[in-house]
Amino acid sequence: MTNRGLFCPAGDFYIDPWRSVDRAVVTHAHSDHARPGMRNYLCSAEGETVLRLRVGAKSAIQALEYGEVVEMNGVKLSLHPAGHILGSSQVRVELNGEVIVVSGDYKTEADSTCTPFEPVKCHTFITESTFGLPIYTWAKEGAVFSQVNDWWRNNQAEGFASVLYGYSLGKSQRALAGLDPGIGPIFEHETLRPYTNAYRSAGIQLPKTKTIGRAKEDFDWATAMILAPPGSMTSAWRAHIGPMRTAFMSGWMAVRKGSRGRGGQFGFVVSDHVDWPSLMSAIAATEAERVLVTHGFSKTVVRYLRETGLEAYELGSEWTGEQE
Amino acid sequence: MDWRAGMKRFAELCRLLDRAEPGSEVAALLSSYLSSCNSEDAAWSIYLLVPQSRNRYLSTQRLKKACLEVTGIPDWLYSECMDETGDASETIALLLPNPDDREPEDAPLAVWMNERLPTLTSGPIDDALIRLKEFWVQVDSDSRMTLNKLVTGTRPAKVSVQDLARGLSALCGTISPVLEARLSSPFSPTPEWYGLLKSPATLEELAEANRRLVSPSEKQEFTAVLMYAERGSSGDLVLFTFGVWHEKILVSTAKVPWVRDREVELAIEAFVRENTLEKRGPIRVVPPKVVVRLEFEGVIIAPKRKAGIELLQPTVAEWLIDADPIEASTLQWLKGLIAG
Ligand SMILES: [Zn+2]
Ligand SMILES: [Zn+2]
Repeated sequence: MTNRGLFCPAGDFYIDPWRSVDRAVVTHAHSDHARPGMRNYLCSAEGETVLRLRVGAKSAIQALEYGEVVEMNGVKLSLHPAGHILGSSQVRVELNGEVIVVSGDYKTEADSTCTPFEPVKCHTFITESTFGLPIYTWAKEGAVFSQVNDWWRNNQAEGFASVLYGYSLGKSQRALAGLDPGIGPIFEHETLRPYTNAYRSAGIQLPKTKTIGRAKEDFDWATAMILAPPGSMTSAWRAHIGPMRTAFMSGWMAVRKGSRGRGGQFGFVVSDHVDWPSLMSAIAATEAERVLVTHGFSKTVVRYLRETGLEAYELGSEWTGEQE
Repeated sequence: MDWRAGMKRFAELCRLLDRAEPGSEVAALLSSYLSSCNSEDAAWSIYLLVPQSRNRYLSTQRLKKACLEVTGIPDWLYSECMDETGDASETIALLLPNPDDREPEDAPLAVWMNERLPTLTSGPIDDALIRLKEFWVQVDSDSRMTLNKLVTGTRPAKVSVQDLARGLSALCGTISPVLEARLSSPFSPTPEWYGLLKSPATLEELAEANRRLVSPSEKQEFTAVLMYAERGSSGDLVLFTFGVWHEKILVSTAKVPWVRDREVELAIEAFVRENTLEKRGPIRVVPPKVVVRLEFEGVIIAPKRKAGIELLQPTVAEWLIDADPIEASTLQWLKGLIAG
């Protein structure tokens, strides 16, 4: 780890660097991992379009299919699905038979908006730990989205528009895939549009959406579901839409303190990161003998892993977790 | 709103109350809930929600022990989870495994309170913990936090007597000042009591309510600075200590269990969590930054107190966000109120 990011000296490349470098391998297009200004990027083929939206359309990007191997100064590098958002990857690096896997952000439960996570065997596993406490245990995705749809129906019956806050890349498209378009029309905030379209062009099936500016003057918003990034509902929008109920989608919603700290006091527990049980089973599945933990509750996870007999260390980073 | 039976339904009410706006939203929730309750469950629900001391069936420590036995997680990891949630009932509820395929054996709230929970206090403690673990699988995972609060004698949701009275008033037509007075005297949660609670006001009650409306009790107020907050056994902040100035230092003057406005209470709790300078047992020491307007009903001389006085019924009326701590009242001024 350097002050620019995670560096592989033998291969002369960085993974998700936060300062400008020559060669950046980018796990996924969230802003704490994919920053503009790198001379060359390498990412998964599935993630190329969304990465261009983030770092600039003209950036030099080399795209790899999942599992495809490239050599960089004798280092074998390949990308493997991380199940976090469209195109998210784990990075597998092999030098002289020694294998290191960098998880990036990941989630083991499959969803329809990206290629599902695949465990990769390695000697050293570098894992995120955004939700690395045993109080974070997610319910199945289907159960959560049926709550969301019930909430929408109920708001509709009581004459309120439903506003669902989620981050514009990943969370919102996943929510869209989970919504039942039979209930009513679905709108999205302008800022979501390019990402949603990128998902559609990658072949992800999503219900039809309109942008909120496109509705007719006398439109009855009480029937509608509106997907928007947090903080985007300005007072002008509120006045335009009329009575509304809002909910926030995040893993932090699992804890009351977390939901209070995030403006909207109501929310659904939807996370694109591993929960505690999946974190533990993902680590076990790599069969790694050494685990480096970053990005979240790393100290706690390291202590726990050591108590179970694994060699584990903390790794500092500027990756910030589930705010993206 | 669909209110299913028993603990699940009560827990759902508590969850909704937790995020509802105090005032008409809370009152509406309560009347909707109570209108579909039988009188036994209604009586218990009110009893559990009003601010008063509750029966503690097991200590938080016992619950924690049982939770660690069920989950196998180490003590230190429990503490880290506790730091994250700030609430023992919630931590334990989140840590317990979810019995996916087991059908919950919920019961009416009155059955939980009259029959099930009392079994926790009889017989050897190990048997009680076995019963507790059975209770944990008899409710669904969403209801466990509320169950834990009832077992440990913690208030499951914070509702003011005013809002409770307003909710009931919408239901039975008796005016809310009368209901407030009835709710403020001690009661047992029986269907008979609930019937009386909802009965029309007597002439005496109306006269009394009228008298209070015409001459509201003389409230006095002063400005004070938050010095400490105290955590209860549940992990909730239960007591706030405020000070006033005496010769350039803050002297603790009022211990306040009651913040009138829920939003303000949450904001103060958040401030304490984020700004704790030092922990002394359950006491959290904070920097002198939170300036509030405190209301109280009177002052008496209390030689054993550091300040030499005691305030009657202090409540936090307002957080004066822009006030400088220097502007807080002085002890001398407060003492002046006794002489006057
Ligand atoms: Zn991410
Ligand atoms: Zn991240």
